[in-house]
Amino acid sequence: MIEIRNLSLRFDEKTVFEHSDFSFPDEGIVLISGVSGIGKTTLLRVLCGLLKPSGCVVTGTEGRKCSFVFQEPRLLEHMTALENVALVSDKRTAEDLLLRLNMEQELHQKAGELSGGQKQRVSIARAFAYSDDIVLLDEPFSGLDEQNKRTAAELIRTARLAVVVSHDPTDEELLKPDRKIRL
Amino acid sequence: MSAILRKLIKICVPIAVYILIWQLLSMLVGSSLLLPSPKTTFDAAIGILSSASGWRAILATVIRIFIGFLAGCAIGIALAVLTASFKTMNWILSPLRTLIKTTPITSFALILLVSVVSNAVPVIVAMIVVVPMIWRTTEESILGLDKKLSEMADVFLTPWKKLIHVILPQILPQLFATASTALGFAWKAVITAEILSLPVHGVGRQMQYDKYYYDIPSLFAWTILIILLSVLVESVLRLLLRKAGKRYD
Repeated sequence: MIEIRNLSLRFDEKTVFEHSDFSFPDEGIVLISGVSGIGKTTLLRVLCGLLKPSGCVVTGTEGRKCSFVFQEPRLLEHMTALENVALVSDKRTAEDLLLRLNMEQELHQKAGELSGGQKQRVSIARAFAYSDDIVLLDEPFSGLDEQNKRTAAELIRTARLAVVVSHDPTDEELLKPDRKIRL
Repeated sequence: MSAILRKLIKICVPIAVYILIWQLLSMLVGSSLLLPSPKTTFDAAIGILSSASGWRAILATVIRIFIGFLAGCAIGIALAVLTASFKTMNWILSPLRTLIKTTPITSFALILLVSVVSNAVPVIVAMIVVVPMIWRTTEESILGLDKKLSEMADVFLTPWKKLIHVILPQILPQLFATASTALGFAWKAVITAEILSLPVHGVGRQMQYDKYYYDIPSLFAWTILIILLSVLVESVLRLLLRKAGKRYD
């Protein structure tokens, strides 16, 4: 069990969390939903250790590798799609993942020249190339068409633990989460 | 017409026009003590280039420029990392930056002459000229680093990979452009400092002596040689930097 205990955070005088506790299973798919600005992304950042609020304790992630699909793709634009993914793994794994996400035509295209949806798929491939142990995904389907959404959802289901933030109700049907957290 | 020929004409025609104007002016003045002709200057330049002392002076100056330039770059980058990373350091070091930026080169050279050996003065002066330029550019680049990319790198990359693939591509293009300009300033600073400090060998020293003995054609010849050498070195540096920067396009 992964736990976040005593999470308190304020942004610009607005209290986002106050002594809040959260728990996540070790495996499966967790879907986090809620209105904009409620702290969904913040929760992922705390879980991954990118944000360490004072007094907050995260347990259960020790020895596990945490991967992240950010809301924006955050790719290195001067590198190709393949180079972006291969930067965090070996080339073979990177290529396999990109092919799985229907990126065969764009493997050697510079990230800066890709469309929004293509960049998003590279970002998902990078996360899974790095680790499929704990994968945190912030609006992973944004910019993807129906077919690519389904392909990405299939890949997400292969993660040991996937924590997905989404505001789109149709994502629930696609992912069939084991647990839902509504903030 | 081939592209190379067109480029050659584009470079040579303006130079030929300026040489022609120079020739006409020197004929008008009629005294090589006031304005030597291009031919007289060319002969003087050949004289310099065929003497061992001429080459020694050029070599000594070029070495001073490079030592001063490289040391200035290293110190500038180190200071930028400090001031961009720690607010207290920025607060402590910002008066130093203002001081270096606003003090005239000649003041530095003359002050240094009191306590430092004359051979080292031009090197230190070049360093002082380069430091604030590199410092400011690097600091601005560090402060302007994409925070979202840095966060991505914190998740996926080792600190070394983060430096190579995320930080340097954002800093280097601007740093290369500034370094190229700084090198031009370093040339001027070293020659000026050499004129004032008269080190054992150096172009500035030769120019000072030529002025002292009223050898105006040699003075002109040195100036032309400095320009040519500066253009040559800057072109080579630009080529190298462009090659290094290409991977980030």
